Amino acid sequence: MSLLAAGVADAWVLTITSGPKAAFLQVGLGSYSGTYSTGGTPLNNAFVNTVTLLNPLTPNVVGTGVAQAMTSDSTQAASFYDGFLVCNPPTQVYVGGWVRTPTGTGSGVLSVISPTSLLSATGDAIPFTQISWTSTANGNATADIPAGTFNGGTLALRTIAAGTWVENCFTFSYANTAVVAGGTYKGTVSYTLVLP
Amino acid sequence: MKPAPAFFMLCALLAMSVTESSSAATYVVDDSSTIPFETNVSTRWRDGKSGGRQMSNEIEGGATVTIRLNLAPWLNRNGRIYLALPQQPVGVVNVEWGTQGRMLPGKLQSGERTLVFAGPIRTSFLEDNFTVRVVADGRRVAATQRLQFHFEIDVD
Repeated sequence: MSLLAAGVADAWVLTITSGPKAAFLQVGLGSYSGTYSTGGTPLNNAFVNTVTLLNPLTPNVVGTGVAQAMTSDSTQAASFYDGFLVCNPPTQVYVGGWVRTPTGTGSGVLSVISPTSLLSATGDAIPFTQISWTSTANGNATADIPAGTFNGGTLALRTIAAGTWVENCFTFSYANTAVVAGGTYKGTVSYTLVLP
Repeated sequence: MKPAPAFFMLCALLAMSVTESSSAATYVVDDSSTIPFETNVSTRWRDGKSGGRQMSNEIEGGATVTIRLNLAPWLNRNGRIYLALPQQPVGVVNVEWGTQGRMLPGKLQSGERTLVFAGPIRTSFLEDNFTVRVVADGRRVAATQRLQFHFEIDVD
């Protein structure tokens, strides 16, 4: 087929941009408008969940080295990927996220930052290295985000490839290997997802 | 000697072919009055599962454009007008559009053309609002990409 020009022949132009850079990280309770699978988009949720010992330590248990289960105030069971109930709160805390890059390649780094110690009101300390977690999910027993122990600093957990939704459920425990003074010990950890 | 019927039939077919190629032609339509003539479309990553907690690799964007075609050269002739998008270096680009009724809604893939109008041309300009949606493989659109559409007309 030959194509002939008739006088002025122009061409209407649409210029499309590359896909936007984006990242989503959820630890514990999160928010999404619906689910990703149904066209939902991430929403901000500033709520900070608390993980505590399942049972307060009694004097005869403190420092015995018998690990103590922890639980949380999280109610997040469903994945915002598709609504599947991946976690069993409150003992399990949801951790998940994704990144997007303009080329659909590359990755982000998921890390957790912990202070050196949990502190009591009187200044006594418990090293954060006393707290560990296991990692699993309903329907996927593989620890996509590995189990580990806080290191009192920045701990890289894994890379998250662009365009992949990564999620697991953490169950925390306290090692209980040291005798500590009575009191309530608190500390805050922060999870980060860095996309270069 | 009287020619065989088969020979007559071949002559007739050749004559039809010559007539067809001499009268029918395809022209590029002047669409320079389209507003806006060049549109920047911000894309977003599409939703949609693709297995194993994977996310869609497609990006999509949309725009509304007032298409204005100068059909004066073919006034009072019958024509079929097509929207065409050449093949793109970023791979397959899917385009869908809706209209307000003067032209036909439709869809195409890069490298194709799709009919948007057929019939007698009674006015010098054919105008319609297109609501266009573009979908491409986001892994291949590393930088801005100009999609240079054009309209073609086949006239009888």
